[in-house]
Amino acid sequence: MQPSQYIRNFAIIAHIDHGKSTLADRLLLQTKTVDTRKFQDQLLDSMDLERERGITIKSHPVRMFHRDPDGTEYQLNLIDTPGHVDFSYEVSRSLAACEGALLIIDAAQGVQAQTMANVNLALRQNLAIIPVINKIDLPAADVGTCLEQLEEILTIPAEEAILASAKEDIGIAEILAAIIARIPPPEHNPQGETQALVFDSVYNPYRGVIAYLRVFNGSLQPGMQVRLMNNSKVSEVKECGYFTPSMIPGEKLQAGEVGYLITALKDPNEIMIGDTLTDNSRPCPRPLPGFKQIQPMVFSGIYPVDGRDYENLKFSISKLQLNDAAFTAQAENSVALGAGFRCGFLGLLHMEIIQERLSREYDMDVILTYPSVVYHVYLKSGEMLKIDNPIHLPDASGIDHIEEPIIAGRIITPTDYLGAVMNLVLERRGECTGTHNVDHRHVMIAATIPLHEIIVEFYDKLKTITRGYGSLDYEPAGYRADDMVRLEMLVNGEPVDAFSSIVHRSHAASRGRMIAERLKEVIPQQMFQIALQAAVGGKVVARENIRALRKNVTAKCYGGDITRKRKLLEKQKEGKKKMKNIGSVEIPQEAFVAVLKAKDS
Amino acid sequence: MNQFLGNPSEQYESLYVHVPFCAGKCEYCAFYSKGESTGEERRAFRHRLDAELREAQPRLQNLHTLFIGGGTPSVLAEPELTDLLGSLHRHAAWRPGAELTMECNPESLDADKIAAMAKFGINRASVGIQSFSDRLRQVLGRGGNLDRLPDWLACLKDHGIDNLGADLIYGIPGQTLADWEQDLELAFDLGIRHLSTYELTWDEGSKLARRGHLEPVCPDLAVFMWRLTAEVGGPRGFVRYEVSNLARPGFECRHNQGVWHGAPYLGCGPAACSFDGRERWSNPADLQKWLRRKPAEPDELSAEARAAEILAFGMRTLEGWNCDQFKQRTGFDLWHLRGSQLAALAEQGLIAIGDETVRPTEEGFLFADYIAEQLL
Repeated sequence: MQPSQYIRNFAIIAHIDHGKSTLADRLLLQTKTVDTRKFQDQLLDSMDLERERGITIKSHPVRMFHRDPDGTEYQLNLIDTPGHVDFSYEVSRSLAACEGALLIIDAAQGVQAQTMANVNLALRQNLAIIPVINKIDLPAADVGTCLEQLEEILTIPAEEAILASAKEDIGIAEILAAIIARIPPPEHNPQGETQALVFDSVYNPYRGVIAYLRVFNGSLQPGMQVRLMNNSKVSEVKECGYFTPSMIPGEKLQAGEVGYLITALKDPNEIMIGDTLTDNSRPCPRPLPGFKQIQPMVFSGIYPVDGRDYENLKFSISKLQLNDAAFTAQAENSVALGAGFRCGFLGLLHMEIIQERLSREYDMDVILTYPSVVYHVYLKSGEMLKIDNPIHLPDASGIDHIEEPIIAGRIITPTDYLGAVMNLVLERRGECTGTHNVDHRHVMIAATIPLHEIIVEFYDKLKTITRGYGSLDYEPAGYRADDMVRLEMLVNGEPVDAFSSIVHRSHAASRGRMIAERLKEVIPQQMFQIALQAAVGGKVVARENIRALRKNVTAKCYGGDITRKRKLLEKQKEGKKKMKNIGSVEIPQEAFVAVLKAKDS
Repeated sequence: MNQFLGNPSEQYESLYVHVPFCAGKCEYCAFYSKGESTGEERRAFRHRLDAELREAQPRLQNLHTLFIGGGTPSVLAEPELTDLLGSLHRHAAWRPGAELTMECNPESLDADKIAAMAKFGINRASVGIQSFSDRLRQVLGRGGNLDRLPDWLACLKDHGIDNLGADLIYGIPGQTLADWEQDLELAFDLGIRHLSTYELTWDEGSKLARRGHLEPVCPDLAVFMWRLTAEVGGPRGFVRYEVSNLARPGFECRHNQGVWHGAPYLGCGPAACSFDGRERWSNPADLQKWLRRKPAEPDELSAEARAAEILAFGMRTLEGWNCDQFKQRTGFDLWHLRGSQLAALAEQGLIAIGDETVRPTEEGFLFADYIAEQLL
């Protein structure tokens, strides 16, 4: 067992595609943690989805052993973390498990908003930061600008930067040397009460919950009774060990080390990210700081396209929840879509990931309703309701005012698009609170924007108007009152629940018109005129009509046609039985699906 | 179980013969026929048809009607036609006053064929015109021209075949309401007693549907054309007695009236359909398969469902159903069978319910498929 001065715990901070996974791969190869023969790109990203999209969804710790030129062996614990804003709590917990971080900047792309956010998180935890300018081999690499950005916006001295190309194996030795030289070894008290931070967990159907943790004080070993500080659950340690990246059982996890732990606990909700684990017989006086109950920020209905898949969907969702405590789901029923679930997500990316995993891993064809955030609805009675579903918004007459969640955002864009980005912010009811130069060509805009506006295609728009160069990062910034209303869609006077949404009054008419137009395209003509209306508080703000069918008749029907015709009519009739009857209008469920699947724009 | 639906020993009331040959294939046609054929194929057809008729002979002895359709029966050469009619003569017998119809095409008729028809006893001819406009005939892919039409109509009348009907198509891409009015007037001026007007349909399997370069006229125009048909025909004594058919009273096509009202009929030839009062079946829609005696495709249904089907298709006609007549035909009571559906349709103004009758309103004609769907 190594004394802790030979241990280094570090994370990698990087924007998507800046080369985080490639660099991690290089480190694994250089330290011979992974055999060249077993090598596979993006070793640490175990999900196909992660590999394909170049994103990290779960934490992936790995222990490497590295001998420095003097022959001293060091234990290097790398915690590969998700970088996206949706997972900022998880990132903060992973960073809390480290003493340092590699900050990777793509030499051709420069500092992105997300990088800044994660650097700020790391600085707040007093982590030593080693800046790495990666991809210096690219023709478009602009190291000078990157160094300027480092100093300008991140206030990191340029001379600290290591120039590297993970792909070309340039600078890897320097990085390893810097990890040992610049990142402090863990400080701890081996004789103190055991204290370990749970920074992630996964569920394994055979082994139960596997907690990923960093031991701060004391040690953990099989047979020990451990206690979770948050919920006081006590369980016996069945196994502990470390990652190579596969799990290697060990005798003990020492103070300063990163590894995993398996107890008898089977419910993932019992071992929460950020919780502190201690020795039940000799508990620590207080938990490690920073624990938070994660709350979903974005809500949407998830429905099976085919109602018969409901049970499968239920099963799939429960499976996904085992590995994703932040994903919540509650059964709900929609008149238009049938049985489904009201689901909570950390953000839009999280929502997309869930949708994609349902489709890939469980072969579920689902539709998601218009996303909502959590509104604070203040009633005239003085009561405050938290509403994440437009259907539950009380009648306007009883509402005093509504507050919506606001985010503090940072947008980094090439200076050329500054005007366009500021317009976008204004359009989305945001406010620019300041601008800072990132370098001679880039500018950072600080803005407060309603979260709801961010989750409805803000990111796509930003990418479009900045030709792909703009980046956004944000954090919650409280609540603000605004004129939010429920927009209802009515078919011949009857509301269609799946289409109701909470929107700002100024956006109600345009959104209403868009849905009415889409519905008009998909609802078949019937024997009477159909009115499609968008209404706010009973007042119609947009309307489309579907004309009555003029005829429904086959011209030729003789002796040779009767069987075929009858079968056709029977089939139609059967199809109509499956239709939803809203306002006496028969609407095929496919119509709702088509409207919800179509992207806003 | 009722005694009516299910008595296949009865005599057929009607006989249909499908002649699966044409001179070319029209753009809109989805019926089974071969646009080109050899003398050998036509000979084999007649041979097999003769056998089919012979097998059914015992039940073809008191026929009310005959309908020779296709295809284009008149493309057969005179000796071939005479041969076919000879088979009919050998194996089937008609009661006095029976209606014997043959479909003809003005491009393929001639005096000898007309003489052969008359000799056998054909007393009704249905002439396919589709449109008098060369421009619109071209859109339909109808070859030839109508130059000889007046001659053949005169010739038919000279041979005593004076119950004449014509077919027109409306809703042709590019056709105006005025074009349609002209076609109607020209048709009525021919001295016909019966007129079938079909809205052009993009039937699956037709060239029109496959090519996909033309689009149907807007439904509003089609409805205007449909209404105009009765407006032009009315003053000339024509009554719309079925969705697509008009006739002077007494000259309705009895063969089709029977089909719509559940009369048992035998269909011979490829793709021909039959109904024995209980079951329907369809011959293979392929000349070679039919020649090789590939069995017919049955369409089995419970007695109740069959009665509902008969009810539904009878509602395509102005006559609709008389309660007694329906009970006689199917054994079921109309009101017990589909009372609530009929009441709902009456509520919607699509059918009119009298003391003893139910029949479609004018609006109901335009929603005949909807009515049928509700009643099935």
